[in-house]
Amino acid sequence: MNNSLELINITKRYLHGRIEVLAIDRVSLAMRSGEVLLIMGPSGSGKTTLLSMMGCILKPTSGKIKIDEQVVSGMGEAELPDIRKKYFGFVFQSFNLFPSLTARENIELLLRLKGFRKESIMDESQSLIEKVELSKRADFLPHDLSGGEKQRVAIARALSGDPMIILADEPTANLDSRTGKEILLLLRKNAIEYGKAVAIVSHDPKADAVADRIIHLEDGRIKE
Amino acid sequence: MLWLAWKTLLFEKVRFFITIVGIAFSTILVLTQIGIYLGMMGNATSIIRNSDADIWITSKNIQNFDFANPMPEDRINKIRAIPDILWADRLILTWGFLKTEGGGQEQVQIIGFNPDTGVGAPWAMIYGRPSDVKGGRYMVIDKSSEHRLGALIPNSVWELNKKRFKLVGISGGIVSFTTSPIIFMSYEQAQNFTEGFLEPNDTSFILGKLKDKKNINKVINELKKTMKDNDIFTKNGFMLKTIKYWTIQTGIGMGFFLTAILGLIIGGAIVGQTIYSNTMQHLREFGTLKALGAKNEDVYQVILWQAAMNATAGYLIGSILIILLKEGIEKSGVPMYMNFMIILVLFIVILLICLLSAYFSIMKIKNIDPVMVFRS
Ligand SMILES: Nc1ncnc2c1ncn2[C@@H]1O[C@H](COP(=O)(O)OP(=O)(O)OP(=O)(O)O)[C@@H](O)[C@H]1O
Ligand SMILES: [Mg+2]
Repeated sequence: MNNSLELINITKRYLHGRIEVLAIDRVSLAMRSGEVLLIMGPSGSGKTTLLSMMGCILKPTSGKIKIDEQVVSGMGEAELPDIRKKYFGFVFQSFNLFPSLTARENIELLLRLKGFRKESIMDESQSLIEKVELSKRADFLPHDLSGGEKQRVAIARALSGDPMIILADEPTANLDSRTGKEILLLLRKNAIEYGKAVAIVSHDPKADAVADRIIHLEDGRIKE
Repeated sequence: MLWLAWKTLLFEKVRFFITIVGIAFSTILVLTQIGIYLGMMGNATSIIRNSDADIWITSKNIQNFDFANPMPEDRINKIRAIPDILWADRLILTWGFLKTEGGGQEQVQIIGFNPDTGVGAPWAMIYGRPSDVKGGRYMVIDKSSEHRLGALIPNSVWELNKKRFKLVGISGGIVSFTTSPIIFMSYEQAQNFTEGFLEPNDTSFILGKLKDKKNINKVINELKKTMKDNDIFTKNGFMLKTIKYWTIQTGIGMGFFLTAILGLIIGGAIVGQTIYSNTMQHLREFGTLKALGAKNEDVYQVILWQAAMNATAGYLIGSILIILLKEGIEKSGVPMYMNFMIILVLFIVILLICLLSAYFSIMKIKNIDPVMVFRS
């Protein structure tokens, strides 16, 4: 099976003033479609740093990143937004919804960004809303949604345009444990059903249940 | 992105409202300054503009229409002798005192024109005809002087420089730059009753019309050679001379100009400041947009659209208010000139200023690191 995303010997050093922080130290890993990869590790171990590099939001100090067999680690700021738009869906701990847009409009925004035609945007957003079981709240503003509902909107947004890869950083950290579990199951369901590669960063021990594969980070390295 | 800009603006209605009010205020400020300036300049040159003449011959070193020195009227023959000239006529501008009802007096500007040809005659009559001033102490007064002179009743008799004149006509909207009431009368009357100011056989201006306007430069050069004691202007040249005098020499124009610029700066600052604080407040959303695959230019568009929407909404309100207020302002005696072109040009200026004022916001967005979306 093809790897959706591959990290080869990735290192990230932050320069914090004059102090150098080695956040990720020679990490290699691969994501496969239809699979949920869980990234665990203590605070400060480099999980977010790793995920940002996987999502082409942060550039590694050294190493190679391949998406769909295409090397993207050498690309510049001119090309990377298009890569993110084409291949990724993101889910964040703090939702990052647009407060002035309703749930539906938040999804539509991304469909517009991805160049969907006006006629298809309505159908597409409706089907995404149904996928995350949010029909009753579709026209609510984020302000009026619960944490779990917000995260559902975010998942629908991440699924819009049918990207190959879904990356989620602590998607359940702001949710109670029952809602958190629902969200994780929703992510898993989409990975399996639509053949997506999903990576989830989580502290949550209950997250193992939805994972096909787990890696543990410690001090920027994968612990075997 | 237009859509997102619109949604975000409407989401914060109070801020949107305050911004619009600010821009509307600045629009009103700038448009009134421009309108009043143009209105005053229009008044200062209205008699020149409404005359049918191509050429104006004035006393030497004249500064503006209102400050004409007398010259011998028979110089008209030199002009009539030129084959390219279709007609030439004389026009007097002088000053007098008109007694008002209560026994007070007002200084008035007097225009003496030839009622047979109508050159320099009042062009907008409410009552009577310009030629009615012919053959005696008859005059036309402008309606706008009523609040200074009292009611203008047709055929009433007034005392002008101790002589009795009958009001035979009322013009509408002919106002001098100095706002002194304008009185029209026949050339002969104007020449005869202002002793000490105009000698008999003196005139203030000689106006000429060409058979063919193409020859204007040739005729003007010829006149400059033969009439060394006079200044020779084209119609537009004389208007420009008058406008320059009031604008630059007296500094009146500069005052309007500075206030107008101040209005533009206020407008720009208001938009710049709201757009910037709006940007700061929505940094996270803009970071999210970038993380999700929007290019910098996409995000700039949101900001620029917002600036444009603020500018357009504010300007629309401001200019509509000006159009509604214009009549009232004019009724109060302040001249104001406004047309579609001015409104359009100022819109483009204000729009550009608003777009420029988004510069700092754009710099801010350029430097957003989308990694921020992972931090809570
Ligand atoms: N922009 C930065 N500049 C300097 N150091 C950074 C920066 N971002 C992260 N670091 C450091 O890199 C290390 C890894 O940080 P990261 O946020 O990836 O950890 P994490 O595993 O996601 O932690 P948490 O579970 O608390 O979210 C930490 O030591 C952190 O202080
Ligand atoms: Mg983290």
